[in-house]
Amino acid sequence: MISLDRFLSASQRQSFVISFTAFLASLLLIALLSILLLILVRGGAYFWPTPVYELTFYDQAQGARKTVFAQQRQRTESSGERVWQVDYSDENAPFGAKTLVEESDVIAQSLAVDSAQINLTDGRFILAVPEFLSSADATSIPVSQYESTQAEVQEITVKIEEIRETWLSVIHEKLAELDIRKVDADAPARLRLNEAFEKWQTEIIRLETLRSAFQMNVAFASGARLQLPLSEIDSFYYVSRQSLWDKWSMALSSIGTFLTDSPKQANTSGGVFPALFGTVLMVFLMTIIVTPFGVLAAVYLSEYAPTNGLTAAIRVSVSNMAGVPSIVYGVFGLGFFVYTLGGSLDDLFFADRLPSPTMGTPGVFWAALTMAILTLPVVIVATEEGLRRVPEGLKAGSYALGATKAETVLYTILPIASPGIMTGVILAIARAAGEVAPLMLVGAVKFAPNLPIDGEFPYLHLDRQFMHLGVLIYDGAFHSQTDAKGSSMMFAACLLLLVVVFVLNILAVILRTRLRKRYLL
Amino acid sequence: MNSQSEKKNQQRNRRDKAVRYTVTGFGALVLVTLVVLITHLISQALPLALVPAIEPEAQMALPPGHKVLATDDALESQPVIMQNGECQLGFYQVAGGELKEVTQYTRPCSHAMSVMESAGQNIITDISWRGQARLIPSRSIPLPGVNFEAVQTVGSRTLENDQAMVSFSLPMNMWQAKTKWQSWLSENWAVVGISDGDKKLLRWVNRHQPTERIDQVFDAEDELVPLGDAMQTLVIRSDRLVFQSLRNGETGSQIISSPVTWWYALPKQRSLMLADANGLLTRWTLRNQQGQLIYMPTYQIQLNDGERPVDIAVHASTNAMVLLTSNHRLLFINRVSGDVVSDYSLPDGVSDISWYGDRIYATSDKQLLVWQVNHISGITTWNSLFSPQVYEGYPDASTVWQTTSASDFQEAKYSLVPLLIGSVKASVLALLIALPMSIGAAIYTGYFARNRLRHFLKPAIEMLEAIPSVLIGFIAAIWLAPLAEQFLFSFAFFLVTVPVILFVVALFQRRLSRRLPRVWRHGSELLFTFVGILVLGYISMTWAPSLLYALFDTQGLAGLASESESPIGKTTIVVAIALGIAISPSIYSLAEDAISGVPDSLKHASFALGATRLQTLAHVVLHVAMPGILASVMLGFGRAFGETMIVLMVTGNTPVSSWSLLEGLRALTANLAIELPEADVSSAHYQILFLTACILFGFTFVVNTLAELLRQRLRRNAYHD
Repeated sequence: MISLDRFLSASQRQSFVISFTAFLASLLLIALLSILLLILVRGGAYFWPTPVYELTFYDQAQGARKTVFAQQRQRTESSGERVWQVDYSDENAPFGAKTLVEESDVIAQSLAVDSAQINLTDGRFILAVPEFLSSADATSIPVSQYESTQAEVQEITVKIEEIRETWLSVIHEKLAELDIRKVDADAPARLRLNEAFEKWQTEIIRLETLRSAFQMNVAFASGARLQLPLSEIDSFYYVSRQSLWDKWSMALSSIGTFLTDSPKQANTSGGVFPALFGTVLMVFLMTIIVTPFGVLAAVYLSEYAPTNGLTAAIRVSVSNMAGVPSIVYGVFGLGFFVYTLGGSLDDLFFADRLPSPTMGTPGVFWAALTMAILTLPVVIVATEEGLRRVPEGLKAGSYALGATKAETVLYTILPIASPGIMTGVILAIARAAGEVAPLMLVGAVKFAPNLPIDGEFPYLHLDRQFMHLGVLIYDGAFHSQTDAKGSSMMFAACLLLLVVVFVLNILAVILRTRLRKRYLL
Repeated sequence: MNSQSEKKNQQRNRRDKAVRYTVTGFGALVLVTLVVLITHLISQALPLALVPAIEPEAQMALPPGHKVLATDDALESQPVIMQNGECQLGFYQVAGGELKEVTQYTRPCSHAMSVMESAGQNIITDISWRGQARLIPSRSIPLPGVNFEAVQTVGSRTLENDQAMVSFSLPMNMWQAKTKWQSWLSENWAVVGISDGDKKLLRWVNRHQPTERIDQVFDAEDELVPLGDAMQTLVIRSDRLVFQSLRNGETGSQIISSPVTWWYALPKQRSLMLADANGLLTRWTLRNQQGQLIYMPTYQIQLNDGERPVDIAVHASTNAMVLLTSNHRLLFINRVSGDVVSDYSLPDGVSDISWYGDRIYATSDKQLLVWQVNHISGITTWNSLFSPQVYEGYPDASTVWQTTSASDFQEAKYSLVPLLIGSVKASVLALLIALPMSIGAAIYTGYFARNRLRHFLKPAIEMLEAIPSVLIGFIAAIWLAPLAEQFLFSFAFFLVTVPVILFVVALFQRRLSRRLPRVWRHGSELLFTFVGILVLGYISMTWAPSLLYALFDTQGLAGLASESESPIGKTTIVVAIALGIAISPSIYSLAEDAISGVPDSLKHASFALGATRLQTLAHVVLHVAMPGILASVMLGFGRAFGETMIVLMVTGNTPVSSWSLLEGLRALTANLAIELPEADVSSAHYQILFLTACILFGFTFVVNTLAELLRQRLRRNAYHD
């Protein structure tokens, strides 16, 4: 300040400070905007179709010219050199290869209007020109009849599945039963079953041969051809000649796939359904646990508790609990819930399965319970805030009419405070949805083979580990760095998580302002 | 009152009571949760504070005339090997609290024999009269089952039929003329030493490749301690210690003032315990000196007057070691730090001790005694957690966090210092970045900005708080870290030039803003700076690096990177930026509340006295809001200290004790996330991890409480001053 005195007048000094503070405020705004923008752009790019080019370049690794169909994006290296990041398909690597091409090595490139992006059911894709379809009895079907031909294939697939489910699995069960009863290998019952099994098996093989005759013939840029079984093709798009409308519909369909499919190809394609489902289920369970717990505790603190030092201490502790690092809750959850409680439950109820633990291992229930304790302060503090805003006059009015305390609380205070309670619960949900660290200790894994809910009794498997969006992103940060496509799938997951958390937060803000408007006027 | 309404009233009262009990119950449940949380964390870490204790578990009489060669883990039904006279080798097992004979092997009486322990296994060395040596692991000797009925019928057998593990020959003449002999074992080497009165011979044989053998010859007066895995021999003379390498000659020698009278090489031979006649025990440890491994003395333990060490046993998976002394004391020693943690007195006549799992076996002439060891993780001392220690193979005393495999006699290196440094380094730097940004922004929105702008700015900045930290970590790891490698210099340039630009803005802002339409005038500084930052940012990214390189003649990042062991993208700087952005909104939010909560009456009074806005800010507003601002800073620090995902994802998680900005780090929180799922329940590792959780909990709890008290003071000040 002293040194500034010499150069600046008082008003300029003031303007300097104002500009400086404004600069700092705009730094924070820029940080926020760049984070949001980055996630939006990179995440959105995952869904947006990329046009296919026919690219001729000099491959330095193989020392030869190559002509391929490719999707490419430009990047500037730190040295200032511009390189193309190229995903291409050719006869040697039909399912996509990645390479970096320096700008000077590009010989020719043109938009490949006939070429399509053919998505396979296992999450991979091929860039090639679909030429014609073929089946067992027709050698050349035009590509325009893809829909009807694919429908035929689907019909066969349905038939095969039907046979598997209605006949083969029943036969397998019966055979297993015979095995358990130690029936001889040449017993008539067993022979009959084997015969039936053979019969259905041949039928399946016949159908599968029929199905595999349905093929799509595609051509690569070099002229080489490949035959793809139609049953392996999920969809294909002529990305290079799409109108804006087509692009939007393709983007929407890939958003749909993203939300409903499971991860494929080591989390670089497919969808995030199990992770989304796990997140939602865990948060749902947590809400069921934390809501009554938190609300009743807050009612106790603000309505029933005697005003003494202990209550004040509890209140301070509860609000301080909100600042305790989340990982500490994870440590507590693992040590107390999983090992101590879960271990004792195993000893009591699942002793026959020991030493392999049933409840004494991280799982979705323990995760929900841990998160419930983590979010408990949020709910208590918000509910208390809501309760405090209930006008004394209303309470006094209720008592004056002869209502008991319980009636006052249930019929007067809680309804009026309900927006505050909702706010608290939604904030708790938002916090739980975005919190990852404790979950990594108590049950969230990067890949779980089964969903925690399925058709098997008891339908909801509280002891199963689950997938979580945050854990998926955490894992993605370590394993998909080199892969541009893969990391943009992770960005798409980020976008999803961000949308979920923001929607919940905005909901809470709206509720809070509504509450304030209603009772503060 | 009629009875019906009375009934109804009773019902209402009952309901009232039921609700009261339920609600009170839930209130109590919250208290219970709190208490359980705290007690569980503490109880899991508590065993570290207890001292190792022994309690007698079994006491078995030895068969008359038998001498115990090796106990093994007898209570886990491993055989006890005993020598019965010169020609009998007895295998016994524990059954019903007594030693029962399993089998007796007869062996040629001319054979020499000894039993050695190597990495928890007992190995019998059997040398024939002609000097043919064989090593037989005791567990490979077939025993006729644990079925004791069968034992009686089996009778005696001979060792000759059994497969020898390693077999080699000794010089026959010297062997037959021997006055004394001894054998040693290590993981790779078997060593037999023979003394014939004139000289001493050490024959080293590679256990995995028995054709490789090396002989060393010494004077008859030399005492020899072959240190197998270090491939050195310690030669103890009356006035000096000489370390003789197997291949490179002498590696070191040291003059000693009082002669060494007792020695013990710990498993793996990386540490030695030497004692002199005064009962002064010294640990010698293999240390890396410019690529050469040399034994050097570390700590010393002074025993009582006239007390001598007798035997040492080492626990496989912790740093615990027990020392038996001639006064029948059993000392529990942390073998890394040299702290004597506890001592117990044993009965007279106990001579040999060995340690298997959580049992200590000791033998005397007539008895085999077993003690159960409790609270073994109590061997962890304050010293070993927080002070530098000399670890085997390290050049200097250092603080190291390195978890080892569960057994194998590796030294456990649980120093919390690198983790604490990591946490403090990351959070202090994050605070340095977050503090100006958030307090500045708080002053701007809370004091300078108009209400309309404030209603837009505050929720916008607070939205940053809602972004899950895993997202910030992800962006920092995927996007910022590679960028930082390119733009570190640009960033520095940017920070340096900002005040200059602001100075220029201050000079012209008034004149410029007068030209703007009235609506824009207020808050124009925000617009200016916003555009200014973007322009400046672009300039510093595209031109600044080359300019700076030219100016300072550095190689840019290549020069910087060569000084650091971690990639630039994984260094503290990137963590600090990401963490700083993550904690800014919470500091901002509280500081803004404090600043805008300063009563208008105070500000107006200041204006009325002729103070400018700047003077009012400096002398009134900041003064009143200071406790609140301090509280916000403390809370921000607490949040940075406890943040897990960002430090986990952005740092390389390398636990180094370095304050350098160019090194990586591992924070306490990230360490918990990485190691707790793999830690064995109730191992020392698990307990130390819980201790770190307690530290995190306690630290943030205290910081938050202090901040809360400060804020309450603010509230009082603002309204009563």
